[in-house]
Amino acid sequence: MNRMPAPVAYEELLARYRGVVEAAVDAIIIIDETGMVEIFNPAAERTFGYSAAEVVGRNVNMLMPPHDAAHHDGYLRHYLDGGAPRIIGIGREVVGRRKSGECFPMDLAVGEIEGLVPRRFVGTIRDITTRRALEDALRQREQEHSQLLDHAPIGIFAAALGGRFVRVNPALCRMVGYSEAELVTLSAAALAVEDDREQIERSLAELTGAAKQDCQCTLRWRRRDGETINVSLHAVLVGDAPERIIGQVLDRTEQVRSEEASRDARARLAHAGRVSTLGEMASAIAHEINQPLTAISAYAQACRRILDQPGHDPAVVVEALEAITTQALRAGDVVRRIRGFVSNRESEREECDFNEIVQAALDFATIDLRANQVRLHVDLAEGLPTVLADPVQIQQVCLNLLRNAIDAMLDLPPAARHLAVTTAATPHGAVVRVADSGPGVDAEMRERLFQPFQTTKAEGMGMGLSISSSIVGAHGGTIRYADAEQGGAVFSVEIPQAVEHA
Amino acid sequence: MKPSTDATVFVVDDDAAVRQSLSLLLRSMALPVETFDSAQTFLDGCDPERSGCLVLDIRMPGMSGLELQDELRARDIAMPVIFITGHGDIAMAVRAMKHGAIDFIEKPFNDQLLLERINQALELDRVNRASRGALEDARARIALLSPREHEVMTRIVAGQANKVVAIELGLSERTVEIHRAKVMAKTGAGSLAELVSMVTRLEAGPE
Repeated sequence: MNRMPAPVAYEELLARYRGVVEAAVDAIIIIDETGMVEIFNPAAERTFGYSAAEVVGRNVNMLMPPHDAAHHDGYLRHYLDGGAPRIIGIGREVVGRRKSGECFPMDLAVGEIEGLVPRRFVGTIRDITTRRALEDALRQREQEHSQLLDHAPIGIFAAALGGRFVRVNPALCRMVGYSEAELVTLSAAALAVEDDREQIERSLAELTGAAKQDCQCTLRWRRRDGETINVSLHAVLVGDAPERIIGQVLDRTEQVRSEEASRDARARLAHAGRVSTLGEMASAIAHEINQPLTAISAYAQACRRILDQPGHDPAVVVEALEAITTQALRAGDVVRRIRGFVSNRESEREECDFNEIVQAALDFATIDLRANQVRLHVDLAEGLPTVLADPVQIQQVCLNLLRNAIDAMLDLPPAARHLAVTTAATPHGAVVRVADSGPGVDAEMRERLFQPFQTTKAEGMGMGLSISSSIVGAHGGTIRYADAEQGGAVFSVEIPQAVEHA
Repeated sequence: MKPSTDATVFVVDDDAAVRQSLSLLLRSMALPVETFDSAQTFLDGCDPERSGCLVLDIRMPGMSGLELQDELRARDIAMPVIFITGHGDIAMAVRAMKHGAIDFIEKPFNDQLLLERINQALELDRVNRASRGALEDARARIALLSPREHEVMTRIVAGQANKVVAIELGLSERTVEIHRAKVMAKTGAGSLAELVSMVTRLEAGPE
């Protein structure tokens, strides 16, 4: 079938391809060398809004906006005179004009149908209004996105599945002190300080391994200048077959610092409270240390006398020496307890046995209880949940409650001084209740109970409950007052249980 | 001065270590010792007839040492008390001494000082008991007197001459002399001076 086609007349040609022209999706317009329209297919009718009858026989420039229309005849002549083609054989995006006068963007391809006299040109046209609108919308959206990214106050990034940054916004660059060009060679894990690297790597691995929908973690990053910053990072997978991680990064350094500062301030206040408490207890503590010293001294003097006696029993001396050791250790325990109580250390949360904390406070208060002849009833519940707490601070709170209770009962005859200390599990943690047989707290005082400088004691600063309240609050717990059934006060402190780690 | 052999040192202290060490120390001094962990346990087992002294801790839960001292006074038990304390509390010391304590010794104590005070206390107890014994004896003897003899004794002790007594009681001087001889015999007084001292002590005595 490779014989050369025989020359055909133009009309015959038209007739042969009319079907094709009419069925074409694109608008097809054929003009002669003067620009007069000869063929205007149905798609052209739809595109331009003219019927073929309105256009055929007229200059094609009626389909152009005024500026193009004025020059079209000139372009055509230029080409026919042997000038370089502007459109013909090239195709370009131009503007068309509909019957309504509305101008619209269109792709135009123009070719010359060779071998005809007069010469004829066929143009195929595609209305790209929709495409252009989409493109514009896309461009605008992209612009908006860029603006959003550029002006967002938080760090935003797109990263490859391995975590390497692909795109970063200026806020992220500022946060870490790297340029965009530098940052795209790094990853979220590479920025992490040594200790936190494994954590972020594991989180990202879980994310890309689809073990998790998103990844949220707080970690420390090292800036380009070596400074460490605290960030919280939230990342999600995007794409149908996930290929990108999109993440947001918040710089929490200031927040962490101010939290640390307020924790430090609270710890210092708590420490001052403990020192002051010890000061108030000095005489009782001296007594507590004096007891074993007295025993040691008496045992030692007894030993001397026994050793001087002929025929003495060495076993008695050995027993006394052992008792001396025990008593020396007892005195040492008191000293150690005091040192632990007032050492100015960082506030540290650990998982603690609630009863142990309460017992430690009771051990301390025993001194006061004894000195003031208070009868103590203790009932510590078994199986309490572990609490997350600074044990010394909670011990301080308990001791404060115990000492307040003792003070409240000093006007009573010794036989009427009863103190009950109980612990119990609660839905959220553990609670200790300290109930005394004193006069209770009157209604007016009750409202100001936990405020600083409120006191009913002659020598008190009125800081005890205020400090206690701040300590308990910082632990996410509560401190409450209630009237006891037989009069007297009941203070309770609840501390949340330690959250179990997954 | 040696304490009587059956005199016991009663130690009351709520601190077991202090109690036990003190007990060993006193036993090493050849003193009989009994210990109590509270004022109440001591009171519960307290026999007023037993001689000795108390070594008492001032501060104890429940009844304090000072309260025990008061309680003993209220029960008329005159056992001498030595306080031991870890607190140099002046007010307490003053009160304890005013109420008749032998001493107020600070813990830890010197064994010599403690021994001295204990000996002092035991001696005091012995003397007290002896004089109380004599007093009891005198009271019993005076109880033997007939009403008339008692009347005569009261007047003689007040310094009246036999003659004056005879006139005031409407008796003969001879009868008064007979009564007077009976009084001297029944009371066992060797002289008028002895009789006066006996009656005076009885009138002034706590019982």
